[in-house]
Amino acid sequence: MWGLGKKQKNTEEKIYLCEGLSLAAPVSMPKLNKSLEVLTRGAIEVLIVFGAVGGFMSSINMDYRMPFILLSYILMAAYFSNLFRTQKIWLRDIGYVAYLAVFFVFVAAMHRHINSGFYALVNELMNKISSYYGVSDIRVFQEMVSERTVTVPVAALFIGNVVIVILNIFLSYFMSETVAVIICLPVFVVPLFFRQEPGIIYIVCMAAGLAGVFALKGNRHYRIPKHREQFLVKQKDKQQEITYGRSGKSAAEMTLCFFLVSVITVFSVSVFYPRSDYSYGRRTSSLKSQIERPLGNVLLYGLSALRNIPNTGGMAGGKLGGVSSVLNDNKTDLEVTFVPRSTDRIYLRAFVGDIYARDHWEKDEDGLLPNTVETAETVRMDVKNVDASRQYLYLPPNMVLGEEELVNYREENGIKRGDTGIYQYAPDGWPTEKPDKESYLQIPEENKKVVSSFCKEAGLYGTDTEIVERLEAYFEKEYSYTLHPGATPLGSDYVNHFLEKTKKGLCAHFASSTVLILRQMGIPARYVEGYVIDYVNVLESAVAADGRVSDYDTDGLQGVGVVSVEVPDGNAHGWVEAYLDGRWQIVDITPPSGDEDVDTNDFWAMAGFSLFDMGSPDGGEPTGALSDKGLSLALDTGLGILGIFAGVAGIVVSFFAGRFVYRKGKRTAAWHGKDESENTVAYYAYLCNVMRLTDRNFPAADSHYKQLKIMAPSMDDEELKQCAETLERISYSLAGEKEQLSGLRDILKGILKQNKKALGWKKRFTVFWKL
Amino acid sequence: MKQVFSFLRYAVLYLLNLLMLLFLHSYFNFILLIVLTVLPFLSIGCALAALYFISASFEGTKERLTFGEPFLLKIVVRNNSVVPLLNVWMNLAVENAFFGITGKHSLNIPAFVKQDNPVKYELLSEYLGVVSVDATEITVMDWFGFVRFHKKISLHKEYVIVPGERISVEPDYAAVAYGMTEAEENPKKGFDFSEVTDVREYQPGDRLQNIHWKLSAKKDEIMVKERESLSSSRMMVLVELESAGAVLNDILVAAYGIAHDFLEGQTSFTLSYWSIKEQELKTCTVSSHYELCDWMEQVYYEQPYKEDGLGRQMMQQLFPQMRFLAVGKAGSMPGQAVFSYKHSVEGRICGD
Repeated sequence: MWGLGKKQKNTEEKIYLCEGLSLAAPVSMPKLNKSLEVLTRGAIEVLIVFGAVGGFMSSINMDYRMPFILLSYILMAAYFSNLFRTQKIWLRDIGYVAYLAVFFVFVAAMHRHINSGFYALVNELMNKISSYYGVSDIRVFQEMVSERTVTVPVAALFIGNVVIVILNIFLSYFMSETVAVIICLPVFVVPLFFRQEPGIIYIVCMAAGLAGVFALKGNRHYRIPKHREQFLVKQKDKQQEITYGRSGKSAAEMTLCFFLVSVITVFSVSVFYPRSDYSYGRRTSSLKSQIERPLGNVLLYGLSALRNIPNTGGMAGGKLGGVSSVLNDNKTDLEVTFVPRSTDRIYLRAFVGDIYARDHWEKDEDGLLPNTVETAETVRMDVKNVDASRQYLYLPPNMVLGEEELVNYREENGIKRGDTGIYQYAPDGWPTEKPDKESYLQIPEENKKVVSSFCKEAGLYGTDTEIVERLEAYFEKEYSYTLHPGATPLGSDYVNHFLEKTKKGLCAHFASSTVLILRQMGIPARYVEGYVIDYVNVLESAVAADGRVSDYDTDGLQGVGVVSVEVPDGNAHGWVEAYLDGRWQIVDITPPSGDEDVDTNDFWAMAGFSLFDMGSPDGGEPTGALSDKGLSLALDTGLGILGIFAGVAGIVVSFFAGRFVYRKGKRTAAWHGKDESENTVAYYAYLCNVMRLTDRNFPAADSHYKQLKIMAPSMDDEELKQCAETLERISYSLAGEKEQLSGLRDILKGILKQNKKALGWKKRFTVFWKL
Repeated sequence: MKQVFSFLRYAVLYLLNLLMLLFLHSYFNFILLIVLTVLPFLSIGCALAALYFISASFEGTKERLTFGEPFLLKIVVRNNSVVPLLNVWMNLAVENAFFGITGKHSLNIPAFVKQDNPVKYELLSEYLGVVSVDATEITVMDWFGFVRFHKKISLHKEYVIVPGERISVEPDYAAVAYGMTEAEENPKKGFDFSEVTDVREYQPGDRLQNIHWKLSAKKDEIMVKERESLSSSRMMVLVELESAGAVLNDILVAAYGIAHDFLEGQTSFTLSYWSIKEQELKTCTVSSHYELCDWMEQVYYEQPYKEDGLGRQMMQQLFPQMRFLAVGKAGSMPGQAVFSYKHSVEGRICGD
């Protein structure tokens, strides 16, 4: 296949339609509109990428500032498509390098926002997934920058940019449907699995984009021609075919048709058969049903969820640090029947530990002691073991403790599944007997330094109550609760690792640390595990069918009555019992699972408000460009950006400079060797290379004489013939007299100088670039 | 085969989406499935509709062209529908019947919505003759490249290529003079080689054949015709339509050249050739460049013969006494050389 009229080695090469009838000039159509060609390809890229990325965002109801992102995609697609407008590969390469430099700067400057944006997307997706499974409080990634109105568009910009670059290359060279399909479809598998559907407009965009790609590929008029001519000549089935290369106009018209058809079809379907009427969507395929649960576990809890590990949701029985994540199955462990007295949390203790030993608590044999205050009023509580461990009794605090309970507790004769324990306890009867057990003040040597240092840092002083309040405030400020604390490394102490390194943990971390801290402050304390009942559980509970208030508690909350609360394994908890201000009290200062600290330096505030010094969008102090904070921030950032850009530019310049020096050195070495004949031949070869790049007719010259004639048209013919003879001789036998060779060399130098002088800047650059 | 691959690729996408729909039961996949179902049918339907509205025509430069100069053929494909097409093919056949040359190719162009798409061919013929261009069929392909539809059309355009006025063979005029033939009246029409220039009274010595009997009877005195003898003003040029390809072309060019030279030199001449089709010697008197081109065009519709010197043979059979200038392949003719053209063609005085 060859193009008509392109640079040909043999200038007499013609295209014959039959013997004796040839084409005198390339076949031509009205001039191709290259801009339209570029626009069409760019439009297809935008349709696909916007459909995929935007569709994904809309499926998880994530606001990503669509107009801005769409405009950015259009500009990016236009830029990259335009790079393929030219046949000059070097120009394209420069375009890519320039863009990559800018992209690099963008990533470097905005990497926190990009990361946070990604995490926001994942977190949002995980929220949808957890809603689908009815699981709450699933948090996977910490978003360093919490402003999703900033981070999500930035992440969308990043993703779109990468995808457009890749898609542009594959569409420009191969019109690859595979890449287009890979971008469009798999991205929706996860959201669609969990019934998160994208908006209609994104379906339109994707359908139109995919149709455009398939059509252009099927019609085979997308390849970048290697020459300028409009038509190619192919030999097809023993017959010639004169075929055009590309037509932007027809491609644009066809793409527009696809878009219109997609719009009409999609909107017609959505009007006549809307999503709400789509009954097939309410059913689940059998395959999906089978993989739903395992997939959910993997997505929510990681790959370890696929292994058959004991359910560490629920109690740990004093063991610490053995798991990196808590897996709640949210099944009911206990069923508790009682009359709520208040909205306060109710604690059911099962395990009490007094001696801390690096990665566990030793069981406190007197954990249920002391007994409640004798004079305290008691009420009834029934605790039924549904699915909890049989090892434990689940007893309300301040029990009217019988010997049987103490024995069962010590011997770990817990309550069997299905059985119900009926207990009398004194809600307000906290024991006042001061503990004399040494273990309640014991701190292991390994922990003393860390705990002491912590106490100083946290500023713990004052009365017992003040100490607890200060500790609670400090934990809330500096530490965070998580269901995924990570396992304590082998050889590390559980509490030390928490207090010093991670600063995030489960209730067991906080409870264990609190015990040691209070002991450090001279307050007897012990570690307790069990289940808690919050008032929200009470509100979600059912009224006990056969429960009479008089049997349980007549002083309960008005209008509530006897309730039967289902306590899931997620309510398993660890807390502290401490002897404060003359009585035993529950100290539960595990922080709630809320947001972690976020960065409040807002890009949009910097970009949008900083120009006008309007202050931050939330009404805080101005952080605009004219404010000290904003200016210094802007300067730092600006210098940083400049520095990075200078660095990249320096690398690029060094590369090309090095390349130039290397080539020049190589050439100089070839021209100044020992053998004069070889030097002259090398010099002549270089001269020929320059002429090939700068003179269209030169490749047709098939003898030295003809070549020299083109190089030096004004030179005397005799002289030219002589030079040609000498060159011929030395080219084949390298035999030449020194004087002759020197003379020839001078002539060739003169010719090169003259020819280079006559070159325009474009051709000079071509020679510099390629040679 | 490529159509099959196009279909397979689309089928893979369709199946992929269908599998997703069966697995996920999603509304997104459902709508996409409908779109993917509609599009191919629409594509095929639109291609059919477009085929109905597509037409083509030839436009070009003047019909009689000068040899060696490019000429333009403009093919206009008209799409009166609102369906754009990326692939429209036209089967084109070019022919030069005199030289027995044919060639076929197809032209592939797009069809724009409600617009003409003119394609220009700039052609150069290396042979004289009538170059005819025919378009026989239009084929369109649907948007996805699944199917092609054909439509018969009939377009025809002819270009008559004659040599340019500048051709000269530089004949040897002495040989030309030798070759001039005495004009003799011959009752067979078309073989009268003299021309009556005047009627006068009989003078002793005039030939009896020249007596104008009718006028003599009228005037009651003997009147004779005064004729212009060929031996002083007319050359018979026989063009051998022998050989093929470049040689035959050169023969025609040389014949044209010598005729042009004779016209320039005001030498009377006739042009003859042996017609295989009609099995007779065709002769024509040419007195202008235009008549020369007409004669050339007439020759283009003849059929060359393979036998070398057939024309000469026939000429000598019919007019054994006559001398003529034969234009034919070099090295195949006896006689005095008049000219040589490109070392492949000669003009020689033959006969007598």
